[in-house]
Amino acid sequence: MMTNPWEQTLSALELELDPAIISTWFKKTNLYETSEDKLIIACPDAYSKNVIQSRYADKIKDILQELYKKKMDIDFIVQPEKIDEPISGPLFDEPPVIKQHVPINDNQYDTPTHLAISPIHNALNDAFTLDNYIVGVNNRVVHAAAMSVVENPGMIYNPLFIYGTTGVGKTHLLHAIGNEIQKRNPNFRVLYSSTEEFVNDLITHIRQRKEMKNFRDKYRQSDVLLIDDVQFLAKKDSSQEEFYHTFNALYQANKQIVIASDREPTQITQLADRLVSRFRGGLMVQISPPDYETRLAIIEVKSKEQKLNLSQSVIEYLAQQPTENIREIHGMILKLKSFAISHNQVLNLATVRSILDPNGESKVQKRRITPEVIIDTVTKYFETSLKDLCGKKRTKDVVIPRQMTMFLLRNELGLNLTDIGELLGGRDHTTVIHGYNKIKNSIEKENNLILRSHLKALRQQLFA
Amino acid sequence: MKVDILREKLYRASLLAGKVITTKSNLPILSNIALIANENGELILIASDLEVSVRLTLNAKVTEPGKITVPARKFIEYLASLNLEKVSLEVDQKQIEVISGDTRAKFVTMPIDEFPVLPETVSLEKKLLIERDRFKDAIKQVVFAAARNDAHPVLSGVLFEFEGSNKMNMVSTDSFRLSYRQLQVDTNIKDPLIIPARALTEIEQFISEASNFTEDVPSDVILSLSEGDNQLFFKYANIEVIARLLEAEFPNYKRVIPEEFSSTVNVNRLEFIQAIKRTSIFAAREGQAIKLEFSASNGEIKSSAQSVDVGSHSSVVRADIEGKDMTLGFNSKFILEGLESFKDDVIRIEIKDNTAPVKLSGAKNPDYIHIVMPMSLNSEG
Repeated sequence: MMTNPWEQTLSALELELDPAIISTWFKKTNLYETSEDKLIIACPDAYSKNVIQSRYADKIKDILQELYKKKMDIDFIVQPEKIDEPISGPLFDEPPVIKQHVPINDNQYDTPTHLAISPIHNALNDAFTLDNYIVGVNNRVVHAAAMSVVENPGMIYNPLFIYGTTGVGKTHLLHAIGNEIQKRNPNFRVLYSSTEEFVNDLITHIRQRKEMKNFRDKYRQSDVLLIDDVQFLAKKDSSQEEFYHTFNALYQANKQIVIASDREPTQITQLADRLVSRFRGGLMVQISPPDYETRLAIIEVKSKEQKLNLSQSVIEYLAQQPTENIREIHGMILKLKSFAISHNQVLNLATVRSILDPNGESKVQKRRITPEVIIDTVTKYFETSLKDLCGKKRTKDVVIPRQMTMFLLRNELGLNLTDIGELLGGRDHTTVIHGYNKIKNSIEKENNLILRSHLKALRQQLFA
Repeated sequence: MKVDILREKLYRASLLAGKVITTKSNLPILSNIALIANENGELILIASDLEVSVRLTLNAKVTEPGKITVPARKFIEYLASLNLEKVSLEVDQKQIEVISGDTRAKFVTMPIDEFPVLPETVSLEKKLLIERDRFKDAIKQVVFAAARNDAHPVLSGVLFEFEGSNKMNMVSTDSFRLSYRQLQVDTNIKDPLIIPARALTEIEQFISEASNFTEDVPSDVILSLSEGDNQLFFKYANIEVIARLLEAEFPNYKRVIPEEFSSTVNVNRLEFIQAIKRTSIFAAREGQAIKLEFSASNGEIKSSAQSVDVGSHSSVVRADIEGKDMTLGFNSKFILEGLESFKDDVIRIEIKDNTAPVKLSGAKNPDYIHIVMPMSLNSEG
């Protein structure tokens, strides 16, 4: 026996009729009742009932005859769609209750009783703070945005949408924002949740037929909601729906929302337009992978956190590793630490090399960054030539690439000044040190953004 | 089909009918207006988006009855561009010709067979009679507070709730604010109805515009329910609106209307509106709170806002305040729309605290109240 004759009929109709007709008139119809020789179909309103009855009844009867191998009668009734949804929103929600409890104290004369506000479970990892978040060129903007959010939650950038590839510190920043806001506003409900958690939570509530109110309260009553990896909402329609309402509820109540994603909202496949536009409604900032200097700083801080003493040369070696993923850098440090503990050995550059690159096949070496590679990269990048680089021209369009080459040869390959001079058309070592310092100072002391971006791009090309 | 009709009348009617057409449907026929000319000398215009439908009956000189549908937008645009007093409509094969003096246009049409058939309006027993102007006012006071987005379908409707056969409450809320209007009616309907706010907005316009294409404008409006109670019929002069009722449970609004207050403020409504309008310029981001400080001892309300992008502002309005001093944050749009929905010179504002709903009422008029939720203000705000 067929499972649902009406559904089968509809599939047959879909083959014959315009999709617009199906979606307008048939979409919300249901099988109401069946008997030996008759089907009763429920239509959501009188319009669809009238249309189906007058225009498509004969066609439907034909299809049914084929299905049942006999003549079937069909009838239609109007059965309006019932909207059944719990209403929430500021007027209808109970105000968030801040639970207070009085600590039980036997010796009530000694200690003054005070009201302590019980910490709300916020899922924040307190290891991630703004203090140990290293700010470099790659994340200066996002750090500034995070600071404004911390100082004025919900008031300035809402939502704050942070995106960047994996391992650039998005999760760290989310936790750090949460921790800092919580520190400054102990009464705030700060909630960190990965999108996966949000989705699972929703599914559990739906499956186990739990009160949706609990779910909604959890998310909608927070003062600060930090949502990680929002790209996982892709293709999850009902989660998107729920998230949309959560977002609106919080946004309209001026609660801060911070969202992290590995790509821009528009790049998330099958994300509802209304969510995309909401995500884009606040401030969108990108975290780029950390550049060399930032990697240095990160390694320094991370190794200190692990109580691992690394020499400057080791730190530089680690920063030169061809990864921009902080998680991988962190992994390297942990690897070194476990080695240091188990072998009780001081980590010098040679040991570190052998640990991280036991077969001597460092990716750095694989890429073979040679002086020629650097010169080649620079000339291509600045659209100049080796001849000009080695020549006598002193125009700006040659001088900067030339000095940049000096800087890179010294910094990335550790060549000595004389060798660098030789490579660049037999220049004096004092010329080289002048060129090197010029770039170094412009970047470090004068914070020359143009040079910085040149350097960053060049490094990316070298290490990519 | 062959019809002669006054251009202005046809244009006004088409324009109004066209308002119910939405871009929501992907069925092309729903962006058309149906034209039906009958032997009784009537030209009937029908438009529908399957939630709200309208049928306008105009007097016309019908030489040859007929039925056709025309694309609404272009048809209306074209009628607006004509300047002679009369137009003739003639259907030839599959086209309709619109002739006005020497100006002629032919529109591509669609056959009426594909147009939705409106629900029957015969033998309607459940009826609601409301005085026209009072109904218009009441609609204006409630529709703006209904939810506009699709987040809560129920809240996009207005509750009609009956107390006996002479009293009706109209309630709407988007969960941030709530409007409550009580009015005199004459009805035999007992169960509450939820009517889409959009349909009421159209109805309000139809009532206002009716005199443009009919001579007979009654002083009462009649609403009735279809068999099965799921469609609302509105009939006024030669206009009919059919709206699908929302089948849902309206939230318990009564528990939201506050009853205990710690401060009562009486303030000149227009002065207060002006102050808030000025302040809202400085609440740069949509939905950013403005700050209202109610000082009982100084007898004033200070309204202020600041934003990094614009700057800062504060205005002071004299007010009669009894009770505690209060500082509240508001969404300026909400508090403005709330205040603007009154007609009274003096408005009463009743406040419990900065997290509880605030009640607005006309100092003399008890039949309309508006509730608005304050927003949390940042300590710096």
